[in-house]
Amino acid sequence: MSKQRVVVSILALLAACQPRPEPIRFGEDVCVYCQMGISDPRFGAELLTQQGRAYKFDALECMVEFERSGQVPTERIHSRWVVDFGQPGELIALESAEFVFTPAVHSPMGLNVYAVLRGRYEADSLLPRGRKISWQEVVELVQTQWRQGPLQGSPLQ
Amino acid sequence: MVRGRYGSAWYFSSCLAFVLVSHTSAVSERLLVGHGGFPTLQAALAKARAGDTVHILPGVYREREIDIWLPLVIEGSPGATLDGEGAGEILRVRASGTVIQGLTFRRSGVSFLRENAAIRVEGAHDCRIERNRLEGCFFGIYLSKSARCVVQYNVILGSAEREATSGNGIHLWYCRDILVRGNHVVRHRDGIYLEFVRHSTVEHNVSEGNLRYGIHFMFSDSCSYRFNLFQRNSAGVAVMYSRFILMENNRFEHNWGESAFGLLLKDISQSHVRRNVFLSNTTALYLEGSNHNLVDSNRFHANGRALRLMASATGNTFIANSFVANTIDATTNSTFSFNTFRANYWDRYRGYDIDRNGYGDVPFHPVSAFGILTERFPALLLFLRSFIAELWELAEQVFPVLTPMAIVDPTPLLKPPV
Repeated sequence: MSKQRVVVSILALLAACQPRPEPIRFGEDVCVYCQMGISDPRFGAELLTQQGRAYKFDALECMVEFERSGQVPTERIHSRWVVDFGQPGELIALESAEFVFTPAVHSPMGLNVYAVLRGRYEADSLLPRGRKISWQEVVELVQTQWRQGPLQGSPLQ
Repeated sequence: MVRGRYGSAWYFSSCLAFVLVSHTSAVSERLLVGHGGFPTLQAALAKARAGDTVHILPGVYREREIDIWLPLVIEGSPGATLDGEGAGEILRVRASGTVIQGLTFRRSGVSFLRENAAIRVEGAHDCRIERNRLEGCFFGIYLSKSARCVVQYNVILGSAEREATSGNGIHLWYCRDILVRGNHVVRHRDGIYLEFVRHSTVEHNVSEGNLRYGIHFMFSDSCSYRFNLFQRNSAGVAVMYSRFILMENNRFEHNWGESAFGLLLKDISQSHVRRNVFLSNTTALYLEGSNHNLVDSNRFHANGRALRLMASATGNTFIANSFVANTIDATTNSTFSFNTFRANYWDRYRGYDIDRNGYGDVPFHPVSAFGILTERFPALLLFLRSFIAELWELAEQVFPVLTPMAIVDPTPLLKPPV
C-alpha cells in the first residue's frame, strides 16, 4: 500500500470518528425535553455531544430549553442540527439554517418558528411568509415569550 | 336552530315592531342539492341567504375549498358525501351560527404546508358540527379562533399509517368555551388536540388506535375532560403546560410501548385527577414538572408501572387510590420526594390493623429498591422476577439503602376504596 493511501485511510478513519447526526424517526422517537412523541416532520432538532450521543427534540423550543437546563454542559456540545421545513425530515446544521417567525405556522411547541436551509426561503415562494430571525433571536423568543406562556396576544383570551 | 334563537331574543324585547320586522325579513328557505336541485353545494351557496337550510341529497359530490360566509344550516340525507379527492380542504366555516350536520366527508388533502381539514371553523362562534362522518381525512374537524361551538356525535376515521401523513381528528387552536362530546376518533395522529384553549369540555368521547395521543393538551388552562375512553393509542394521553385541568371518570387502557403512558402530565399544576381507571398500560401515570395536583380515587390495575414520579414533581397529593396487580407500584428518579400519600390501597401491603380502624398500623413504602434501579438502568427489568432481585428486596426491607423513605403512605387502606 502506498504512503498516500495510508494517509487517506487514516484521514477517513478520523472523519468516521466525527459524531454524525442520527436521523429522527418520526412517530417513534420521543423528545428528550418534553417527552412528546416526535411526529411532525417539518419540525425537530437534534443536539450532538462530543461523545456522539444524540438528543432529539420535537421543536427548536425544546432544544433551547434543554441547553439552558444544563443537562449537557456547553463545552460538551459538538453540534446542533435542525429539521429543514422546506424538506421535511431532513436535518441540516444549525449554521446553515435560517429561521422564520410566522403566525401562519403552528410549531409543535407553540412558538410558531420554523427552520429552513439558507437561501431556500427566497427561492421557494410556497413557504409560509413571515419575519426572518437569527438563532440568537430564536433563543431570546423562547426565553421571553415562550416561557411566560405564549397566550398573551391571543384574540380570545 | 339559529333563526329560532334570534327569534326568541327578539320576543324578549317584547316590542311588536321588532317582532314584525324580524318576521318579515326571516323567511328561511330550504335549498336542495342533487337530484334535480342545485348540482353542487357551491351552486346552492351562491343563492343562499342567511338563515337558509341547504339540504344535500344522497350522492358523492367532488367539491373542495367550499367557504361558508353566511350563517346556514348545511345538512345531508344519509349518503350525502363531500369528497375532497385528497387535495386541499373541504368545508370552511367563516360565519358564526353555522350548523353542519349529517354529512359524510372523505379525503381532505395531505400537505406539509397546510393543515387541511375536512371541516374548518375559522374565527366563527356559536357553530354546531354534529353527526357527521369523516373518512380518511388529513385533519378532521379543525376549530381556530372560535368560541362557544359544539362538536358532537361525529365519527372520525383516519387512515393514518404513519404520523407524518396524518393530522389530528379534532383540533382546537386558540378557542374557548367549546364542547366536544360523544365523538369517536380512530387512527389519527392525536385523536383530540387542544392548544391555547380555555374553558372547554371534552366528554363521553372514544379516542382509540391513534398514532400518538388519544387526547393532547398544550397550553390549555381551565379545561376538563370527563367520561372518555382512551385506548390502544401508541403513546397514550398527554396533558402538558396547563393549569386548572379537571380529569375525571376517564378510562386509560392498553397503551403499551416504551414511551407510552396511560396519562403523561408534564408541567401541569393545580389540577385534579379523580375517579379514573388505568388498566393495562406500560406506565399508567407519569408526572414531570407537575406541582400541587390532587390525584384521588383512581384505580390502577394491571399496569407495568402504576406511577412514575419524577424529581421535578412536588406538592402533589395521592389519596384514596387503589393499586392492584401492577408489576411495579411506583418508581422515582430521586431519593427525595415532596409529595403526600395518604389512605391509598396497595395490594402489596402486608401490614396489619390491630385497632380495626380500616387503616394499616405500619406505613407502606410503595417504591421498591428494584424499581429505583430500573429507573437508572431500564435493562435490569429483565431480572424483575429473579432470585437476586427478590433477595435484594428482602434485604432492603430490613436495611433500606436505596428505597426513598420520603415516599410513604402512613395510613394504607386494607380494602380498596374504588
